[in-house]
Amino acid sequence: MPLLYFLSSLLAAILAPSMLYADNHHSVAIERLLPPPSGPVLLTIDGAISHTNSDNSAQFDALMLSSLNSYTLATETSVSDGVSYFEGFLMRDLLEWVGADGEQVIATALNDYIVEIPLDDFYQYDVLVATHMDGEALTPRDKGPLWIIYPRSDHTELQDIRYDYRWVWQLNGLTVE
Amino acid sequence: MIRFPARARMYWLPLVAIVLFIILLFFSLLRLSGVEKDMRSNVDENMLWVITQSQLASHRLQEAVHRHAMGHTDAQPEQRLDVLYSRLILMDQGPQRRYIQALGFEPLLDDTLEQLAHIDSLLPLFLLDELPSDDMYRNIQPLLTTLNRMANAVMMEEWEATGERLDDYRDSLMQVIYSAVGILVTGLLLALLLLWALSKRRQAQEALTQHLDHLEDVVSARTQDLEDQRRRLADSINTAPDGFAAFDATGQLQLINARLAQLLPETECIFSPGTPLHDVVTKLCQTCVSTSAVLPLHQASAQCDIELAGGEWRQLTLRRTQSGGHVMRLADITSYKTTAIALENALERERGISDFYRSFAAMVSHQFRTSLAVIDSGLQRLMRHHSGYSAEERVARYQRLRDTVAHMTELVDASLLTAQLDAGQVSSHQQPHDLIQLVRKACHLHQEALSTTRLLINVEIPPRLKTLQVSCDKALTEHIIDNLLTNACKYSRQGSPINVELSRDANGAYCRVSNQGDAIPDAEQSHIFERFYRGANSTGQQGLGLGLNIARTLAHIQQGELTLLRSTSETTTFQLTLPQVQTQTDQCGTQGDKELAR
Repeated sequence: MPLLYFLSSLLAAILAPSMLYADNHHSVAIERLLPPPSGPVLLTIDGAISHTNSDNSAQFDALMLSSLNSYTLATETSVSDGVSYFEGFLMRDLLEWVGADGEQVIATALNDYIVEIPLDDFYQYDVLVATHMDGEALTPRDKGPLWIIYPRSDHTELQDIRYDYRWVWQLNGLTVE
Repeated sequence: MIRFPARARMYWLPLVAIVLFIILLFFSLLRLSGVEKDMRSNVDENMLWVITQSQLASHRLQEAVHRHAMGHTDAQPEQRLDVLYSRLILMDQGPQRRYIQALGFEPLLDDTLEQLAHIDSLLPLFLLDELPSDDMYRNIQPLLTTLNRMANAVMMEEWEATGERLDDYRDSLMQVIYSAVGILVTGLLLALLLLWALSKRRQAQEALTQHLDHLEDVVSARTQDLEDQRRRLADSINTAPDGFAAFDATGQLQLINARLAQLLPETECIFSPGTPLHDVVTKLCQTCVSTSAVLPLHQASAQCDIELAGGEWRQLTLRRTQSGGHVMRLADITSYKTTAIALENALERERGISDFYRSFAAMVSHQFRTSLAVIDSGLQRLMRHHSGYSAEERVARYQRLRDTVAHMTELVDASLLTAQLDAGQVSSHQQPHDLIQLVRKACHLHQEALSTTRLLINVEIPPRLKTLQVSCDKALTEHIIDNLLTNACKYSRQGSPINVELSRDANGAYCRVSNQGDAIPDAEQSHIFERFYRGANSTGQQGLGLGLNIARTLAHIQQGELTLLRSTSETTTFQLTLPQVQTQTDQCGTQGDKELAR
């Protein structure tokens, strides 16, 4: 399964240059304007942010999130066996998009899970907001649609129970403080 | 009973302590590492959270269903179902499922998932109000019960596990504490052993230092002794009367003493350090005048005498040492050699004298016998014919007998003089004399002794030569001139004159005596000055063959010379050379040599 996923990633990487122009043009327009979401809202950001598209908040649908630069990450998790391959965007890219200015974010999930995460985490590590796991889109029935993934396998200090609780799945809200 | 060697006994205690130390340390680290790993594993706490949240999610689903049934539009049962699904899927994954499996709730979990799938299929009907809410409650209720049961079990299991884990931690910590005590004890033991070893080492070092000091003292004392011995040896070698040179086993010259340089010329050329023995011997042979033998180098020892320029003699001895080297000894044997040569000469002279007396005895006996026979026959004739002879005839016969006696007297004189010369008893008392007077006197005496009619002696003196002063012994010179005149008379042709000629030049004064007669054959000329040599034409003449030999010896004694100047069929000339005196005082005395006057 991971091998298949890798092959598809490779194919995507080869095809990427042909779509580069359209993507860049699109993202520049979105960053400046942050238009209201056209589809179902997956994520709402509020608090100390400078760009909003709703009442004091920035709302994102799947299309808007997919316009962010895509990254992949291979790491172990505390709740599964072996190495999993994740795909998504960087948390700091998202926060910069909305002009976040604060010390921490309060992340909330569909399952009413609430946790505070220092903003430094996202600048110190390449913390990913995953939309896909092992080549398959995350769903609300599993840990989707968004899952905060720390590069646990690349940094031993992240293999700690105090970081494990920051791996918020079913993420649907961020409040910047 | 096993007995360890002393060295092993010294090491076993620290060895055991170190091994014990390492084992205890390793054991305690192992236990601590186990505790650390166990503490890191947080699946238990996570499970309690997961199961509680699942329970909560099931209650929230029931609440949402209830609110939906009550007509609240904001109730979102499908979202709650999603959340519950996600919780149960999480429980069905990896470590969580293994945990459930260990508790024996695996079939229960599978049942729950099946129930949830059933609820999922019913929910769309319920949302369309095609399914009564009671049916939904009836389907959800067993899920709540099952999750509640699982939550209780997980809670109890976790408490049990926590209790066991704490027991394990306590045990591990106690073991670590015991190990730490053990480590402390063994560490202290090792420290004590180290201190003991250091103290022992210090003692050993002090003992070693003392021993080294003692050794240094001994060595310096021995060195001093050796140095003294060496100095004594060097002194004795240097003060030895002989020269020494030492060669090592490879034949290279190592050292020489000072005496050696005094005994040989060009020592530094021959005896430069490192010169091979063979070269030294070769150079020595080139330097010396003669050697008594060639040195055989292959022999253990060799010896030979060496003659140097100036009559110096050295004895060279070569000895092989025990170490394979050679020692050369050079001794001054000049005095010994001189004595030996003198003895050899004396022996030779004695042998000559002995020979002379043997010859003399034979000759004298022959000559005397002849003369005595002449006298005897003459006397017999006189006795027998005494009356038959006239007075003149008798006188003539008596005269011949007297001549014979006179000849015998001459023979005795000559023999005595020869004996005196051989014995070294004849010495020359040299004084200035006028050779002219000596010659005139001798000629006069001869002329008187001879009948004037028979022979004429002419004395030729250069007109300007008034006096001819020579350094001579008067008696010896008279004897020489007398001998020359006698010989001249003896071998003159009948009636021919004898010429005596005096002259001088820078080399000396000359007296040449010439007579006319048969020439001395060339073959005999070189022998006529030898003892008892009588030439072919002396046959019939009386004589011992001593006269010329004596005359030449006497001339030599006076630093003069007597030579045969020439001998032809006309003239035979002998020349006497004597050293001149430059003073003009004429001290030609009348004192004669008493020994020769006899």
